[in-house]
Amino acid sequence: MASKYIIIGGSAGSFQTVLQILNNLPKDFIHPIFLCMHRLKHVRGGFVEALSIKSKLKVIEPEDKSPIFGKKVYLAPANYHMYLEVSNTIALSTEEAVNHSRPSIDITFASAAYAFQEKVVAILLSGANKDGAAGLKEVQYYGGTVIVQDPKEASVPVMPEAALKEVQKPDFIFNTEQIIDYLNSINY
Amino acid sequence: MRRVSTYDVKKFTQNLKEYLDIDFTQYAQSILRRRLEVFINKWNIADLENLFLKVQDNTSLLEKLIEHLSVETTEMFRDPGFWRTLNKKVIPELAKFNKINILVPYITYDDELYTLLVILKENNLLEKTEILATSPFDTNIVKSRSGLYTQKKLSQANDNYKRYKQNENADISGYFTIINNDVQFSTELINFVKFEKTDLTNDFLNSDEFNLILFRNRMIYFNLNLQNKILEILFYHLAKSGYLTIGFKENLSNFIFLDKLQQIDNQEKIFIKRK
Repeated sequence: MASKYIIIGGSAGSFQTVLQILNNLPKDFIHPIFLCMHRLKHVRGGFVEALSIKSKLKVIEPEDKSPIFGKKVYLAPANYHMYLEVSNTIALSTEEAVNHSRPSIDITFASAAYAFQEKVVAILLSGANKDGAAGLKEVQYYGGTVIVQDPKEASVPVMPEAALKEVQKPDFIFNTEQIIDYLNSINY
Repeated sequence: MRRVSTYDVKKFTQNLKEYLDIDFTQYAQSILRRRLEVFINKWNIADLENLFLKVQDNTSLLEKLIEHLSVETTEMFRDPGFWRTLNKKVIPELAKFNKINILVPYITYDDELYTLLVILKENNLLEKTEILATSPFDTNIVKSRSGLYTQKKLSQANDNYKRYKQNENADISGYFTIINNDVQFSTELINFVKFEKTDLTNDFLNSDEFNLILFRNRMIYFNLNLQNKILEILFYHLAKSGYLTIGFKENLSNFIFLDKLQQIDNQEKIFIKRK
């Protein structure tokens, strides 16, 4: 069981931000990080490789029922939803798309929120739809930390803006630098 | 928004099992919890206790619940690369037999089954193939047997089919009848399937053996315990040199008979039972 679970959700315009975050965390960053990125359905390989170029942490696409370990980045595989289980494992699903997306950020955020409650740090980045907004609300409801990328900085501000409508009082509205600083500050 | 706890889910599934003989007790918890939460919010039911009271004498609601908890496999020709490999490496081996037996267990609304029918048809193998499709629930059998489809799914199926064929001009709609907005998968093909209501863990007693078991993206809905239990049963019913297929992001790493299976492709999860 980790002491924190870092969940990052992003869509259009978030790739560079994620690269920057992963590049600026140490290779032994202690908490497991989960990436739920909207991605092309048919592209199986390449995403992990692209992230691995800049990431100091090992990036993997988990399989169903994979155990969760710290010092790892788990990228939601294409065409599956990614859940976090109370048993500290990952569950995958082929349910209907949520907000036209599979993987859906709402599903990952909400499952993490229920399973790990105040241990969750959820970060929502740039994107063109409102996936993640309802999920962030669940994170807040269960006592986790809610971080929204500053819409002024986000390449595509639609997603952060939708989140701020849903979660009127997030814990933080951060730009990328601040997200990196925050994560490094909780690395214990 | 009504929320549901793991405790609520455990109580609810225990009741379903005890009083209605419907067993979701060993399904993957996080997914089950979410689906039940979505269901009670959608149908405006106060909580799972109320849901249990209602489904006991409301067959229509119970059917809707079972349908809702039976997750689809998303689309026909999902993972076109997998189907290409199956067509290239497995089908020619099966074609050598005088008779082919194929099992598709735990169907929901079954795109996997329809995909299989198209591939067998295109390989002229339907006449000598017996296909058994099973589900513990009548609801799923009725739904799969009906062939009822949607425009949206047909469009997704076509997109995948083109990738499968590696041909922009390929068109899967020949396997469908379209009248106004109603889309229907070929009844002629569906008639090649034998549907059976069975919970494999309880009453699958024949000594049937299968040359191919199509079991993709079903285990993800079971907990590890149930997953392994079902795999053992399927393994027992797999003929020597028979093939077992699972989903791209599923694995057999916890399966006790893994050493008796060999993966035949380094990308796709297609396993052959060693002699």
